[in-house]
Amino acid sequence: MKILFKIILNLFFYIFVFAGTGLTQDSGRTYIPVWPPKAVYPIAVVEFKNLDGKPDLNNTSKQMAEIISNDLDFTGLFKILDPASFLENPQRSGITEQDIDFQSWSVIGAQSLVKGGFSQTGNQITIEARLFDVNPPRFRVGRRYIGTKETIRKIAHKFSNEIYSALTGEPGIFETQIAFVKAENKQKEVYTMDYDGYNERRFSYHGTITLSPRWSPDGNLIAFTSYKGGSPNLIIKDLITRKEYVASPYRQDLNISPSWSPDGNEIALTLKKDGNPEIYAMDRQGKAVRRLTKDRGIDVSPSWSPDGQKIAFVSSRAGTPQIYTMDRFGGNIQRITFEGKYNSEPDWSPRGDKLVYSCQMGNDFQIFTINPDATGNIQLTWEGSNESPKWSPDGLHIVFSSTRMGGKNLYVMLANGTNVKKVTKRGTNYSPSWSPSLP
Amino acid sequence: MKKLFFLLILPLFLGLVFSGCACPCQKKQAAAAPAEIVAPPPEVEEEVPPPAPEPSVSLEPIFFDFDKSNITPDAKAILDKNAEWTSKNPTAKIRIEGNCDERGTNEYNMALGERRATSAKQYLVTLGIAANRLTTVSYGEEKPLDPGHDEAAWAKNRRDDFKVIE
Repeated sequence: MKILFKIILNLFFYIFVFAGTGLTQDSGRTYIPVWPPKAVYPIAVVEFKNLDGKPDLNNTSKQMAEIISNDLDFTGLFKILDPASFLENPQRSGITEQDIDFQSWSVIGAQSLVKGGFSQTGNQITIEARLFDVNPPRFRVGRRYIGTKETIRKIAHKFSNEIYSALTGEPGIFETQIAFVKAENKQKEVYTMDYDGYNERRFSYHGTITLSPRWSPDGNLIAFTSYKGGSPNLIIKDLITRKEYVASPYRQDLNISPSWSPDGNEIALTLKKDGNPEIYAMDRQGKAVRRLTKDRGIDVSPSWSPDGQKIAFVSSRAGTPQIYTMDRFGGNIQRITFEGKYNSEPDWSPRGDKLVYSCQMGNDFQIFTINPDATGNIQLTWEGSNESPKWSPDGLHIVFSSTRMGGKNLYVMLANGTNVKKVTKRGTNYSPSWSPSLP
Repeated sequence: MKKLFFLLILPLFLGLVFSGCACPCQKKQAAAAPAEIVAPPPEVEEEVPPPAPEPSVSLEPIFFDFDKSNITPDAKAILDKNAEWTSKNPTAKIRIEGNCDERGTNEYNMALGERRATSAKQYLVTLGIAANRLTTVSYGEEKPLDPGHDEAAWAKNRRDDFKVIE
C-alpha cells in the first residue's frame, strides 16, 4: 500500500516536471501539447547529406531541410535553430544514431534533431530521413522514400508529418491542400495548391465565373459554384478522374454556398426555389431536397458542426447579416453575433468549439472567432480587408484572403491570429477551402 | 533521506522504462520497412468552352443602396421607361442581372444580387409585363462595372442590368 502511494506520488512528480518544460505525458510517451502554441521546443533540421557524391542539381540537400523547417515553423510549436549555430559539417558527419555526436547538438540547445541523406540513380532520388532526441540520445522515427525531383516537396512534407506525430502524438497536416478561386482575364477558376502555396494546379476549366470550392469530407471531390450554364450552378468534380456533374436541383436558378455534411452524404446550400434565398439540404445528386430556413431575409453560407447535428449560417432576418445556428432540421434557431452590422461566412471548427467568421469594420472586413454559445468573441486580424476564413482539418489554423499587402491573396495563421504566412504569391486569389487530411 | 532518494530516483527510472521500450522495435521497423515510392500527380489539361456572346441591346440599369434590395424612387422612374420599351417590343425577353459592390462577402452578395433582380422583376410585373418574359440571375460582386475601390465605383456596381436576350 505504501509502495503504491509512493508510485502515485512519483507519477505526479513526473508529470509536474514535464509540465514545467512544456511537455505532457501520455501513455508512457512525452508529447508537445499542440495548443496553445508556444514556439519553444528547440529542434535542429540539418541539410541532407549527399550520400553518393553525385552533383546535387536539384538542391535536394537544402530543399529537404528548408521544407521541413517551414512545415515545423508553421505549427507555431517549434524554435527552429539557426543552421549558422550548428557545430558540425552536415556533408561530413553521420546520419545514423551511432555516427552522430549528440553532444555537439546538446550544447547548442537542440532537443530534437532531424538528419537525412539522399542518393541518385538516373532521375530517381532515394531519400532517407531520421528524427532523434538529443538528450538523452534516442532514435525516434526513420523513413526511406523513392521519388524524383518533382516529388522532393511531397517527400519532405511526408517526413514532416512523421516528425509532428512523433513529437505531438497528433497527425500532421503538411500533405493537405487548399482549393481556391483565382481571377485572371475576367475569368475566375478553381485551383488547388499545397497548403504552403506550392504546386498550384488548375482544377476547373469553365471559362467563366466560379466560386465557393468546398472539399468533400473524404477528400475525393470538390463542390463549387459555376456560371458555366449561365446561372450559378452547383458542380461536383472528382479530383482523381477529373469527371464532373451538375448537382443543382434547379438549373436555371440560384444554387450557391455549398457545405458538405461531415459524413459527406448531404450538402446544405442556398436555393431560391420558393422565391427567396433560403437554406436547404439535399443529397449529392441534388435529390431529396429538404427546406431548413423560412423567413423574409437572406439565408446563406451554411456550415455544419463536426458532429453533424447543427448548422451555422448567415441571415439578414433581423435587418443586417448576422450569424445564427440551427439544428440540422432547421429548428432551434439561435443568433450568435450581436456586435457589428455585418457578420458573415461562418465556418465551424473541426474541433467543434469555435466558429470563425468575418465582420465588416468601416469598409474592410476582419476575422473573428466566437464560441457556438455566442460567448468569447475575439478579433484575429487588423490589417487590410480579410475575408472567407476557413479552418484547417486539425482546427489549429485558419486560411483566409487578405488585401494587406496589396492585391488579394491567401494567408494562413494560427487559430489565435499569430504566425501569419502569405501562401499565394501573386495575382488575385480568394474563396479558399482547406482539404481534409488526404490519404 | 533514503525516502527522498527513492522519490527522486523513481521518476528517472520510470522515464527510462517509458522512453526506452519503444526504441529498439522502432529502429528495427525503420531498417526493415520498404522504401515508400512517391509519385507526382498526373498532368491534366482540359479544354475551356468559348464564352457565351453578350446580348447587344441593353436597357438602362437601376441602382441600389448598400446591402439593400428595395427599389428607390430614382430606380422606379427608370423601371417605368424599361417597362414601356418592353411593352412596345412584345417578343423581347429580358434577363435582369443583379449585382453588388465589392464590400460584403461573395456568397451573401450572390443572394443579395438575386434579391435585387427579383425586386425589379416584381415591379415590372406589377406594371403589366408577363412574368415569363423576365428571367433573373445574380452575379453578386463578380461583375463590377467600375473596378475602383471607392464610393463612386461602389455606387455604380450596386445595380440591376437589363439584357434583351431574344
